[in-house]
Amino acid sequence: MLEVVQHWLVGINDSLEFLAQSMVKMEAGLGLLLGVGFSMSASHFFSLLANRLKPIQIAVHLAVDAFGLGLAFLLGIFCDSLILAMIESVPLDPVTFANQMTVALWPGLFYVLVGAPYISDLIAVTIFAWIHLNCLLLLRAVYAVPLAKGLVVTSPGFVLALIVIALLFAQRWRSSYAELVREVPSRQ
Amino acid sequence: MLLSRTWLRKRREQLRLSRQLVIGILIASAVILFLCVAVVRRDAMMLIGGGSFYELLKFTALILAFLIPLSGIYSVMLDFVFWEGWLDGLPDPKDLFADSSLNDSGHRHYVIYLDGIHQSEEDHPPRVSRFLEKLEAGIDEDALLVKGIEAYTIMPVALSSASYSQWFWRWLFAMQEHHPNALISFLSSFLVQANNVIKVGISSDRRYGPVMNYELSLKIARRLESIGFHPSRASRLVLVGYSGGGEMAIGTAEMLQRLCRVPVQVITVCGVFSGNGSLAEIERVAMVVGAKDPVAAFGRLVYPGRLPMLPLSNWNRWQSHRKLARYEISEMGHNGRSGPFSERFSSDVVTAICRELACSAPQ
Repeated sequence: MLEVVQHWLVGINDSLEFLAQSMVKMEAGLGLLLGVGFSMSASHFFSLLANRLKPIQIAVHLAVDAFGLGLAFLLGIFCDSLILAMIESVPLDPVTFANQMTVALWPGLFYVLVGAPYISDLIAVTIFAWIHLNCLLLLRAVYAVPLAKGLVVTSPGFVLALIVIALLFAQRWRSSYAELVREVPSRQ
Repeated sequence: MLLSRTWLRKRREQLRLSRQLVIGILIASAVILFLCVAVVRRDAMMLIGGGSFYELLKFTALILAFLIPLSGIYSVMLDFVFWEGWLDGLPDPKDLFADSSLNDSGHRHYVIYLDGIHQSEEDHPPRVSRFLEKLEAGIDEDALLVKGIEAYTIMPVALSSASYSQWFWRWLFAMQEHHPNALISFLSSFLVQANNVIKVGISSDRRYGPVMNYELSLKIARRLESIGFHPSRASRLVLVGYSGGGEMAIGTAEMLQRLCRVPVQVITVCGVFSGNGSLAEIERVAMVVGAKDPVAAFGRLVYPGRLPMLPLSNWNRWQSHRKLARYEISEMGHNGRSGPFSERFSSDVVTAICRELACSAPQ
């Protein structure tokens, strides 16, 4: 039994290492950031549809939300870069850092699946956790920061990004759905 | 007509038997596999640790991880397309019950039965039909039992007649009913049930639930209108939901009350429901539960809003202001020979429902 657990742990470690190396080789920039923003924005497409917006309004909403969400993540990455400079004495270069770390956001491309009924929270939490894990792995692979220390470096920026998303977007999406709930009975 | 119904019943019995056989074979295979693993552990460990097995497992998990949410999104999309009015059939509620002189049924109470996720068409399976006959005989003369409502479709037509996907459902139902291979029949029936499970998920989702529950309420209200219901003559509606039908009943109750303008109460039988539905204006909910019902118990875990540890959840807040009646039947399970439709327990369930109807009857 112990052997099996050890085997599994080694397997998980290998997979994480493979993931980190793949991300280091990947070239992702602004396109990925926007892609993630659009995916997150599209996951709440039904709230726009349900509130009887015209197609052009829906498109504008999706685009504005996508830019905003991309900026929220960028803000988190810059925060990470500041903390890394303070703790690990890595020279402060937010643009290079952002170029290297943006790739960690790739699971966010599948955020559109949060549109699925009932299991949406589970999917959202999984994707956010995966993004955070990617940040830790990248820090270890690129800056040789151990995972535990990486948690200290990345958590504040990640929490900041989540707070911005929650304040700006989740609140608006929630109000859209609430408006829908109010509208349904008034149809009679 | 009678002959085809008898033939259909026979086919359903055969299907049920073959389904039980397939489940039996699957369980037996799992036991044998487990024993084999125990006997040749080292070889089995090599097999489990082998690259091909992992690859297959990962591939299957990946496919499922995409397929399940995508089918959910597709199902939601249909509801919203219907809501937007892009498909014909969403009625204007202002037209409901416009003429009170039409078609008086002479009943004051309407008991509406919503079936579980096994439902694939308007006709209920034979065991459920027998149960409903008993219930019909047990309720008062001025009460009418409304059956045959497809609780998992929002369109006014059956799944097999829906214009956009009839070919798929007809093909699936044909496979379910006529395919000689029991496994294929079982898989087809599984897919039909998966569609119904998704609908239960949509109904319990706080974002999409209101739209779907509104559409289903309209469908029920139109059906009631067609059988002679009118708010001026009726005194109450009672939604009886079995299993996933419990979620549909709780989800639609408040909206149905507004549409039909009479008090609505809910009775769940072995109900699997979230309690997320809007219940603020519903005065009475009763649960008929089996002491040995693993599915309903699992439902409480899947829908944590019903657990007492979350006192601010919608369900617990409703319970703090209103009384929830509970009728527990010892030894009763969720389905099959120990389920509420079995010969052993159906009378107890009917008695519990009739007791609740008598207790809550308006004076």
